[in-house]
Amino acid sequence: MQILFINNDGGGFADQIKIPDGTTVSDLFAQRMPGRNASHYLIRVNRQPVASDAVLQPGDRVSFTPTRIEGA
Amino acid sequence: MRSASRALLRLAGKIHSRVESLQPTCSDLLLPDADWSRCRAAGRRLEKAERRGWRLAAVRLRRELRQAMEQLRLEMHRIEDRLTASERPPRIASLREILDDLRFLPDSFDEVRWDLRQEMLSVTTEPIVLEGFPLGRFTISLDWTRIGFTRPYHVLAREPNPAASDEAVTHPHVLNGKLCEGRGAVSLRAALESGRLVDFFTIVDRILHTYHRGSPHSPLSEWGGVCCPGCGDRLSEDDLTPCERCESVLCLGCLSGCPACRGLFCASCLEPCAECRVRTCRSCLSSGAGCGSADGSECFDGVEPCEGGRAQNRDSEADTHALLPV
Repeated sequence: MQILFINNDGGGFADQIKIPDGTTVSDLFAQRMPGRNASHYLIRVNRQPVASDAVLQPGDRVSFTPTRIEGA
Repeated sequence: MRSASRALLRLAGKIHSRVESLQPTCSDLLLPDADWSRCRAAGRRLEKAERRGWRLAAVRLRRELRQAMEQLRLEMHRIEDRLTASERPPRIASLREILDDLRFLPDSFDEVRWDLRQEMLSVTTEPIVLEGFPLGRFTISLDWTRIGFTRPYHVLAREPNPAASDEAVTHPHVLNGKLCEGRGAVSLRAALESGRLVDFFTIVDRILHTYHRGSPHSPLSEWGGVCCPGCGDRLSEDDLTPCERCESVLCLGCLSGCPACRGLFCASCLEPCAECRVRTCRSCLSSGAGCGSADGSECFDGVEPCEGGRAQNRDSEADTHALLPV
């Protein structure tokens, strides 16, 4: 299935990606943000905060935004 | 209600048109020569201060060099992120997505306002506290007609608690309403140029909630300023200077210059010259420099020379005559 994945860390990409059915939010985080700690990110599905075990649905809009972003 | 929805749709339409009109660019990929030059200059000044034994200056210059290096590091990250981002054209949000973002904003922020005439969309953050310092709420106002330009928004402190050293610094990373985006710069730009409004405001909000010790306009450790023990005023640490005799650290208003040696001293380390009453440092008084008429002409500021000064004047005149050719 296809979802819109937005990574607001670094380059700030927004991409349509394909994921297997049954993928949870935490699965996607582990896959897309290896080595990162999920508690350091605002994780939203369709603009709403969600539980880490929430199963993603086709067409979902998932965004990962760091809770701390260093200004200059 | 229906007219409110129509207004929101019009707003979404205007933002969508603006975003669609943008062409992907990578115009800000210039290498950070200026930041590197600042590092080199700071390094040279530090080396000079250390060579000459200027301890206080060296402390300040070391901090300055660290800040310059941090700025260079951030700039390199920004360029790297921008380079990567330029390899992929941004995905533009649909009109529907922009409308959904506008509808969602009130769930994320305390106050959301827009003005179609002034072409401004703004949200207000919750009160921000960094390391125990209450900085109040901030309103982030986006001028959507300037999306695609550098920083098309400003950040206004609603209940300003500015740095003691500079009233224009309302947040460690905000000066004159301009946010220094640092590591958020590229993702902010990507969010704006894609029309992702919730992401844009969220990223600004996250930067405002983060204190980056490496490169603030004013460090939080000096936010409230330090108290001058002489007058009680709160000032930046950089505005305090040590008395050259007792080393009490005071503001410039509480220090006075010795007219003889030109050093800066606190009130208790200066004494009036017995003759002319001009306050002079104890060293100069006791060393025979007297009230400072060392040049042999007159006492300070046009005051008549005191006895010590006159004696010195006579001696120097005698010396001068002795040196004249016969």
